[in-house]
Amino acid sequence: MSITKSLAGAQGNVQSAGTKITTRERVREILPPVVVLILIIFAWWLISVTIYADKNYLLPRPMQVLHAALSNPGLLWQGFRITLIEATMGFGLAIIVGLLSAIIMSLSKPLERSFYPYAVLLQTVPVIAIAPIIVLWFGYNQRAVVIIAFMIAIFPILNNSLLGLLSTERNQVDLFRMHRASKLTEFVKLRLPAALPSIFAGLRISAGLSVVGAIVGEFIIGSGGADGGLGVKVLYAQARMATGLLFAEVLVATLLGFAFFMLVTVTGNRLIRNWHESALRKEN
Amino acid sequence: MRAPLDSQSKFVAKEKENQIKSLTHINVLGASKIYPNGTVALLPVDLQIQKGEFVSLLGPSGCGKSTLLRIIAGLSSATEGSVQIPTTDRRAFVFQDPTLLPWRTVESNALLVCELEGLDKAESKIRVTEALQMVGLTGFEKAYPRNLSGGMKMRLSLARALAIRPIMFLMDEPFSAVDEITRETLQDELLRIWGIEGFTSVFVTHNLYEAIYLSHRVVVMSARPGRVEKIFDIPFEYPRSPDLRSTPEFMNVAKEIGTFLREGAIS
Repeated sequence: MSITKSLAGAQGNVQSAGTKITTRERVREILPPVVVLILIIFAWWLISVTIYADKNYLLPRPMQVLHAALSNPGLLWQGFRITLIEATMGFGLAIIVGLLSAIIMSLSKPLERSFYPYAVLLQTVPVIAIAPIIVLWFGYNQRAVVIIAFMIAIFPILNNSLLGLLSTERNQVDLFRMHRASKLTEFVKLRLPAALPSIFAGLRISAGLSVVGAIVGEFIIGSGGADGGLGVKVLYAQARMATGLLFAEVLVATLLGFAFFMLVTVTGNRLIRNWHESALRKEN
Repeated sequence: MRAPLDSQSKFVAKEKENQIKSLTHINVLGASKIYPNGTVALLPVDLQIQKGEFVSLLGPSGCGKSTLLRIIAGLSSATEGSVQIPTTDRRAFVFQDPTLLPWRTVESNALLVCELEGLDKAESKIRVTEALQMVGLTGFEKAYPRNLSGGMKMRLSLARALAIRPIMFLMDEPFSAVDEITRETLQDELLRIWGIEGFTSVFVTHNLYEAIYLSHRVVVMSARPGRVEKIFDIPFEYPRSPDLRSTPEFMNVAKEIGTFLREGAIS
């Protein structure tokens, strides 16, 4: 009797886990961060009209930033587009190279032993410091920017993916070996899906970093003037003391990084939402 | 006159030997395990397990019971000696934790071992449905493991192993992580399924009562170094009723083996 009862109870759970989230719950989730945002903007405005009232070239008022943004839509859009392309290419390259390296290293112990220490060591190299070398090699062009974005973005992907691919549960591997599964089957059906949460943890970090990398690259290639991405435009605005525009550009760059991060997070959660704790909606 | 008699008795002996051989399903011949660092996990073991027999390996942690089971399963190799097993027989292994793949549904998890064994898809599906029914998980096919209780996860783990219709069923403390009430239910269900399917069972446990309740024979092992101390024949007929656990006869057997275990632990 107790078994059927407990089974029925568990079945109830299964159903409740699948029910839709009500609007009320959604509001409860979104409201707090929105309130914080409004408070921050209010504080900004307060400081800009009191302490910095006659020094708005240092801290512009929110309305000034909005005005600068609305009166330069073409400039911001162009910067956004160029940086977006550079960051996307750098990030894409980092995903391909990082993931493939991690997979190869996870499949071969000797390769892992030979290269993993460097993968860890290279992460400690301040990539920003080698950016000038890359510009030296690839020239003052967008290719150099893409390479810099790639270099900054690759290590979190490589490290997290490798860690994920190597930390498959021992018993699960034994189960596959017990039934004479091939290495390929073991990889496709066990190691890769088990590593997805780690892989996406790496991708999330790298998504933001690739935008940072693109802007750092643009800082270094500097000139390019009107044709440059947001990094170049930020330098120009700063030189001209156009603080309102400078703030608008920084905000657009932030939005770009955030969009990257969200895109990766949403994709990841879609893939692992049914089973991984990090992607599960709170059930209470 | 002597010669024919001699040859006849030889013949009888040979016949008998063949008969034992044909009944022996798992033949452990002096299998031992010594790790490269010199740790002796298991002193040489000789053990013959018959087709359809239910044998438990009982002992404290570090007695090598899991090591012996892993050697029988082919997950680990014996340092010396060997294990003779018909290679064509399907072996299933149940781990101490349910070892489910959290990204697969209940049904898909139950299908995993069939997939790994390369069984026909349509056939596997029928077997999985049967296996899930056997362990009482019908209706949960589309659920994910995270929605199951500990006992249900273990049932799923059993169903996954049963779906290939194993000839040999190897279990490594499968019920040690579930509560007492669930454990007894699972024991009864395992015996019921074993009664139907008739697979040869090797069951590792550190629970004395569990070992006695389930088995034809209980192999008592002790630690440092891991070794087989004694093999007890359990005198109860199958099918066994849950009430058997509280009979004086059962208690007597438990007392006998329990005393032996304690004395083994002291010496």
